[in-house]
Formats: sequence, structure tokens, C-alpha cells
Amino acid sequence: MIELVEVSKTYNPGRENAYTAVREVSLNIEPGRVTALRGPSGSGKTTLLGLIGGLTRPSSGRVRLDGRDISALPERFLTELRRATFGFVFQQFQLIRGLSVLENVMLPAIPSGRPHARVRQQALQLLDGFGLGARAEAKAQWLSGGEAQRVAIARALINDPQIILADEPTSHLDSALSRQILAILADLRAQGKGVVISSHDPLVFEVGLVERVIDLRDGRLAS
Amino acid sequence: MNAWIERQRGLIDFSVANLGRRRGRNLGLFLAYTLLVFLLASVVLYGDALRREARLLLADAPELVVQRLTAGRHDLLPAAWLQQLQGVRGVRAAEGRLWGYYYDAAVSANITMQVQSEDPPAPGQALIGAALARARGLNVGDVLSLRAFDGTPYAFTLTGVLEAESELVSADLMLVNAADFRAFFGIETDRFTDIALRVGNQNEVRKVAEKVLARLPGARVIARDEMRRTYEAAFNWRQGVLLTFLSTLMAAFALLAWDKASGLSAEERREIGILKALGWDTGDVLRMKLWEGALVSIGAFLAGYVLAWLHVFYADAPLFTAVLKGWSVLYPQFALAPRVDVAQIATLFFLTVLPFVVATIVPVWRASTLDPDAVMRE
Amino acid sequence: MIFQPAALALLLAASLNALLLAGSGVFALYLLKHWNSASGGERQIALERRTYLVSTLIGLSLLMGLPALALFVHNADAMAPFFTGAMCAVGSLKANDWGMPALLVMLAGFFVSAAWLVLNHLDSRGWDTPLIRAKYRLLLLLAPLALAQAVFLWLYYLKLNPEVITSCCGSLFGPDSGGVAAEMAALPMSIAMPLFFVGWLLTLAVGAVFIFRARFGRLFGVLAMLHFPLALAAIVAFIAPYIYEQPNHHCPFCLLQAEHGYAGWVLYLPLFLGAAAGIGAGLADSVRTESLAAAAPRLAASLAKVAVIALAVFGLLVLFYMQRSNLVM
Ligand SMILES: Nc1ncnc2c1ncn2[C@@H]1O[C@H](COP(=O)(O)OP(=O)(O)OP(=O)(O)O)[C@@H](O)[C@H]1O
Ligand SMILES: [Mg+2]
Repeated sequence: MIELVEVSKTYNPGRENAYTAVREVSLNIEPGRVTALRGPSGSGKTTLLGLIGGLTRPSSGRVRLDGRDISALPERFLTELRRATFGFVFQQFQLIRGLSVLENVMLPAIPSGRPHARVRQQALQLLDGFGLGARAEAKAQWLSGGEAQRVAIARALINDPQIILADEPTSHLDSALSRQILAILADLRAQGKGVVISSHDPLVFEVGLVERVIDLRDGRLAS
Repeated sequence: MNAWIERQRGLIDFSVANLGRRRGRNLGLFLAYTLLVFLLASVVLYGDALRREARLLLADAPELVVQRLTAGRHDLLPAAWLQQLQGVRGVRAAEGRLWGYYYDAAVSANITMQVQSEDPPAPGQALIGAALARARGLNVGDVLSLRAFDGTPYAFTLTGVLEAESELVSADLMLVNAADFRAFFGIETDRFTDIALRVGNQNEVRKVAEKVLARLPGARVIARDEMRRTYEAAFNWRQGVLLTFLSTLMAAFALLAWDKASGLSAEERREIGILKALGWDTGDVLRMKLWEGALVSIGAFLAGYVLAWLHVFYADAPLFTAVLKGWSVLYPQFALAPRVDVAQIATLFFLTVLPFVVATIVPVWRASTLDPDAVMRE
Repeated sequence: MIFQPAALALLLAASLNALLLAGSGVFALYLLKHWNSASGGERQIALERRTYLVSTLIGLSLLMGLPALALFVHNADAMAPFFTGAMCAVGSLKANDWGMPALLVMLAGFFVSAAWLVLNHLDSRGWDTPLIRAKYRLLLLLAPLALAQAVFLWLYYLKLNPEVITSCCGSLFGPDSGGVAAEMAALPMSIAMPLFFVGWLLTLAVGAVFIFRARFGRLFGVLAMLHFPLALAAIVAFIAPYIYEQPNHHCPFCLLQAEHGYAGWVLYLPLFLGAAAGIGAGLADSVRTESLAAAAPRLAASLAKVAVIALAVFGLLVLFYMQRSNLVM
């Protein structure tokens, strides 16, 4: 359970170019459900997703994870919590070029100090599950968009998080590939994981995956 | 503990992959690093080896050597001095010595001919140093024919080649008996080259030297400790000058390392951002980067040190011979005895790796504190 | 002035160390003024980030500290032929007024930075960084030590004059030359030996109780700290004579030479390790913060294990050297 209490985020505070991207947002995200953040470009979806996932520190307000205030937690502990709780899928895939698909998937597990062999096996299983078993040794930059997005999802799952945060997961894909990705997210929901998506792609809202929509306008909740 | 090891292993794996991916970018730095270690290590290895040779040279030397000066020049001294010196309080033993140089045109080098007083070679026989034997292509049993002072040929049969711990001590040495020596150089029987004095109590060496000077006004007294200090000072000075000169290189290298570490490419920033967004802590990125530096350092240090080793001990240090040796006599083939010394390696580590680490630590830290949400805004 | 690779290396290391720690010291003042762990504001985050740098720097400083100390002593030993009257490191160190202070400051720096790293390790395991103020106050002690070390080393090497006639270790550790060192040397073996072994066994016993029963941790820390000077005194009083097989040779520095099988290095390594780990164990055990309720005792126990093993090895080595010696008292 994630609670945001009057959370605001101001970029470059105190300077001329200060910009408040999220204003006094309060909301709860329940685990095991699919929530979508919807809004036009620039409305603060990505920023809010970062705040929910502890990636972005709020300028004011509190973020609580299972009742514990994480807004002022030292980085080391925040990162540990974040690693165990959230899996991120970024807007541009963000795979590391020059590393193999397998190495990319294993990256988030390195700081946890889990045994290499076990992580490797788990990564291969995930890739198999997404039909990428044969591409495990391919370099990340050789992948097509759809493949890259699936690798990014596999990477988000390697630490077995409770909640997947996906920023515009379909924005770089055609509709067939988008459906495929949405099917994977539906699958994760079926396995009991929570999913939070930011999107302005109508397709996302059509397929019946999203259980709760949060509308954003200029950094505020629009409801 | 296991988790710690697994994590370090993961970080090392990733660092290795990183270095591999940016081979071109890292190669220049690696070569500069290796060159720096090579130069510094050559200076230190070479200087230390020479210093050690000199120490061995002096190890068995007598505490005091008495020479005779005539018109300010070293001259042969009369045997009568021996009796006079034996009477000086504090002197345990006084021995007249015979030695001299012979210019051997065949190998264009000076031979140091010396009389071995204990267990001397039989008449007409000689022992020679390994370097000389090599240069002349001589083996035990061969005959070495040299021209005596009056131009007549004088033949020595070789009964052995000197295998000393240090080649500097014995390289050009030739040991003969007293009668041969006198006949070869035309020296009368009551003359000696100099006198070696053994002093019983080390603390009295100075006092004994003063007494000798008082008793023999025409004498010069050389103390072993004095010579040792002179040698050490000369070596230290030369080595120090070279190292100071190289410190400018060191500074240039540190600057290069700093520049490389702080000038992150957009790609590298993006990657660090990805790692942090994926759940790497600042400390994890920092450690990964430190591992990267450590791997480069270890590689460059090993490469540079091994190259310097080969340069000094197997290629006769062509880069430094003139500056560091400063010996008037150059030997036909002169090999320093190789040796590994932990203190020396520690010294080199401080001189090369430390500036690198210090120069890169702040930029590396700065890189690792990039915001984790930077990636989301691309 | 002595122009020598090892001296240059040490001067470089000490100067860099002083520079880095001086910077950290200034930061420590700033942090102590502005730290507010309840805040998630910009300044707090910037401060927090900089603590990563400072931890790394002190780690580096400790990592360099011990080899630098060893190199300093070794080099002093190697320089002995330079000075009339010097037989070992003592002669070189006494060749001017700055050698001994430099050595003492390096020793102090080693122990303080080890203690700092123990605090740092624990602090980073508490979500509320409970030891941050203690840690940065200790840093305010460490920074001047690093500065003093650099200054003393520069003075020592710059003022080193090969002409000087120095004293050999016999005069410093001789029974009738006065001073603390001499009194240690003059201590009769019949007193020094039981004193040392009782102290040693007591320290080990308390350490064992702490490891198995989790009690008397702080007492163990204090004992491990006291054991260090006690062991040094024992080396001067009777261990060194046993190794030299000469009843009147008490020097703790000649032990480092090859002639004595590098016995000094063999003995000092576990002694230093044991002392540092033991003090660290006591320090960790005295931390009673809620957020470290699990981490502090765990670290204290592991450090105590290291300390007990190292000190046991030290004492056994002493027994080994005594057993092997032909010295009859
Ligand atoms: N680092 C930053 N500095 C200044 N302004 C920023 C920064 N990051 C985001 N912004 C601004 O904050 C606002 C919200 O950005 P955000 O990326 O959250 O929007 P979004 O809803 O995800 O948009 P899109 O659909 O285009 O991805 C934008 O106007 C953006 O320009
Ligand atoms: Mg966005």
C-alpha cells in the first residue's frame, strides 16, 4: 500500500526556472490492482510515477510505503526498499548498449548480493517466458522495439517486486506489439502483482486491463 | 559475508564488461599509466640495484684505508708504514694491499688486477671475473696473455671464474699472486698500493684515523662509512633528481586521469542514471567505478613494473645508464642482480597508483551521485 | 634533506592524505551545523551525498595508513647506514626531533581511522543514521592528526642531515639511560613475563566470554586497548632479548631486520590487527541505538572474533619465539 499525502514536486526550486510539475497530490495505490495515470503531455505523469516509486524525492508532502514514511529516508535504505518493492519500465526502454540481454536483465540484482547462478537462472526463465530465450546472448542494441520492451519488463521483474511501474509502455510500439505488452501486464496482474501505468494511449484504456484511472491536469488530480 | 562477496563479484563483472565496452576510450589512459609506472619503476629498480651493488662492494671493505699522497696524487707507499701502523692503538690488523688497473685493448675496458693474499693463486695462474671471461671468450684452463709494464707478454693460466653475489664487484676483476703482480707492473718488493686497517671497536674509527694522520703526515685515510655515505648520497641524489623530473609527468598523468574521470560522456551519464533507477545506490555505483579504477591500476602497474624489470635487468637499462650509473669504467657486459623488494613495490604504488586514485575519486563520486530519476526525463 | 624514492613516496602520500582529510574536516564542521535527518530537503540530500565521498576518503586513508607506517619504519631502518652511530630504525628516527613524533602520529592516525570506519559501518546500517554526529566529531580529531602527520614527515625528511651523529637503539632501550623506554627495558623478566601473560590470557578470556555469552563487550574493548602498550612493553622487556638471544638487547625495531627473520613484522601485524579489531568491538558493543539493535552486536561479535584470533596468534608467536630461543635467563 502506497500513500501520497499532499505531495508536490518543484524542479529547480528557488531559481528562475523553478517549475512545479506535481501539486499537492494525495492518493492511495492498492497492491494487486492495475492503476493508470492519464493526462496530456507535460501534465506530470512521469513525475508522479517517480514519486510513487521513490525515485523522485518530493519537495513537500509525505510518501508512505506500508505505513512507513520514506520521503526522508537515507538513500541507502530508500534504494533497498525501492529495489525490493518496485520494478520500473521506462519510457525509452533504457537498456545498456554493449551488454547482452541476459546481463541487462541481471543488472538490478547485483546490489542485492544474491548468488550469481541463481539470478542467472531466474533471468533465463523470465526471458523464456517472454519468448526471448534464444536472444539471451544478443547485444541489447540489436533488439527490435518490441523485444527491447519485453527485456525491459523482464529486467523490472528480476528482483520479484510487488509493484510494476511502467511509464508509457506502449508509446514506441505499433498496436499489435502494444497489445502484446498489455497482455504481459495483464498476466502480471493475474499473478497478483500491482501495476501502475502512465499513458495517454487510448488503446491502454480500451483493452479492459485498467481497473482505476487517475486523471492529471497541470500536475493536479483532475477528478 | 557471502552477500558481500557476491555483490563485489557482480560489481567486478560489470566493471570488466564496462572496460571492455569502452576499450578505445580506456586504452590511451592505460598506456599513459603503464608508461608512467614503467619510467618510475625503472628509476627505482635501477637505482636500488646499483645501491645494493655498492653496498656489497663495501661490505667486506676494511674500516680504514691508508694511501700515500705525493704531490697530491696517490702513490705507492713503503712497507715500513705497515710496522708504524700496527703500533697505533685501536688497530687490530694492518695489511699491505696491491692492486692496479690494466687497460685491455682487446675488449676496450679496464681490468682491475688485484693480489689475493689469502689462499693466493699459484705463480702464473689467475682467477678472473665472469664479465671479463665472457668478453674475452675465456674458460677455465685457457691462457690469458697480457703485456707487462715493459711490453713483454705475460701469460696467466685461468684456474677459475669468479661467481660473486654481485657482478659489479667482480665483473672486471683479475686475481693473481703478489710475485706475479710485482713482476707484471714492475713494483719493488717493499712497496704497496695501500694499506687496509681493521679497527677493533667501531666507535674508535674516527680516533684511529686521526692518530694515523698524526703519525704519517703524507698519508690520506679513507673511512668505509664515509665512502658508504658518499655513495648513498650520490645515488639518492641522482635518483631523486630523476624522480623529481618524473613528478611533472606524474602530475600530467593525474590531470589526464582526472579529466577522463570527470568528462563523462552523455552515454555514460545515461547508463549511471539507468543503474540508479534500477535500484543501485550511490555507494554501489561508486564501488563499481572504484573497481574499474582498481582494475586499470592493477593492470597498468603490473605491465609497467614487468616492463621496467625487463628493461633494467635484461636490457641493461639503456634509458638511464648514463645518468644513474655515473661510473667511470663501463663494463663489457654488466648485469644487475634481479631482486624483488616489497618496500620498493610499496614505494612505487604510492608514487603511481595513489595520485591516480586521488585524482579520480572526486569525479567518480560526482558521477555516482547523479539523480536516479534523470533517466525518466529522456 | 634526504632525496630518496621511499621518502618522496611517503611525503606524497602524507600530503595527499592531509589534503583530503582537511577537506573532510571542513565538511564535518558544516555537516554538524546543518545535519537534519528529518528533512528530505535539497541541502540534506546534498549533505547525505557528500558523506559517501567522505567515507570513501577515510577508507582510502586507512588503506594507505598501515602500508605507509610500515614503509616509514622500514625506510628508517634502511637509512641507518647513513648516520654515524645508527644501527637500526631508532638511530634514523632519532636523527632529528621529528622522526618519533611522526611515528606516534601515524600510529594514532591508524587507530582513530579504524575506529571511525567501525562507527561509519554501523551508522550506515541504521535507517536514522544514529551515529552521524559522533562520527563527524571523531573526524574533527582525525583531520588534525593527518595534518600533523604530513607536517612532521616534511620536517623530518627536510631536516635530515647525514652528517649528524645519532644514538643507537642501545642508548634508548638500554636499562640505564632513563625514560619510559629504558624503564620498560629495565623491568626484570620475572615480573614482565607473568605480567604480560596474565594480561594476555585475561584479554582472551574476556573476549571469549563476549563472543559466546555476549557480555563484557566494553570491558573487552578496554582490555584490547590496554593490551597494546602492555605487549609493546613486553617486547622491550623480554620478547626482544629472547629473539636476539642477548639479555641486553631490547630494541623493538631491530626485530624488523632480516637478520632476525623479520620477527618484528610477524609479531606486529597480529598485534596491530588485534588491537584495532578489539577496540572496534568494544566501540560497536557500546552502541545502544534502537535502529542498530541487530547490526551493532553482530558487528561487535565479528570484530571480537577477529581480535581474539589475532591476539591469540600474537601470544602463541611470542611463546614460539621464546621456545626456540637459546637464551637462558
Ligand atoms: N528536471 C526538470 N526540470 C525542469 N522541469 C522539468 C523537469 N522534469 C520535468 N519537468 C517539467 O515538468 C512537467 C511534467 O513533466 P512530466 O515528464 O512529468 O510530464 P508527462 O506527463 O510525463 O509528459 P509526457 O507525456 O510528455 O511524458 C513538464 O512540463 C516538464 O517540462
Ligand atoms: Mg512522461
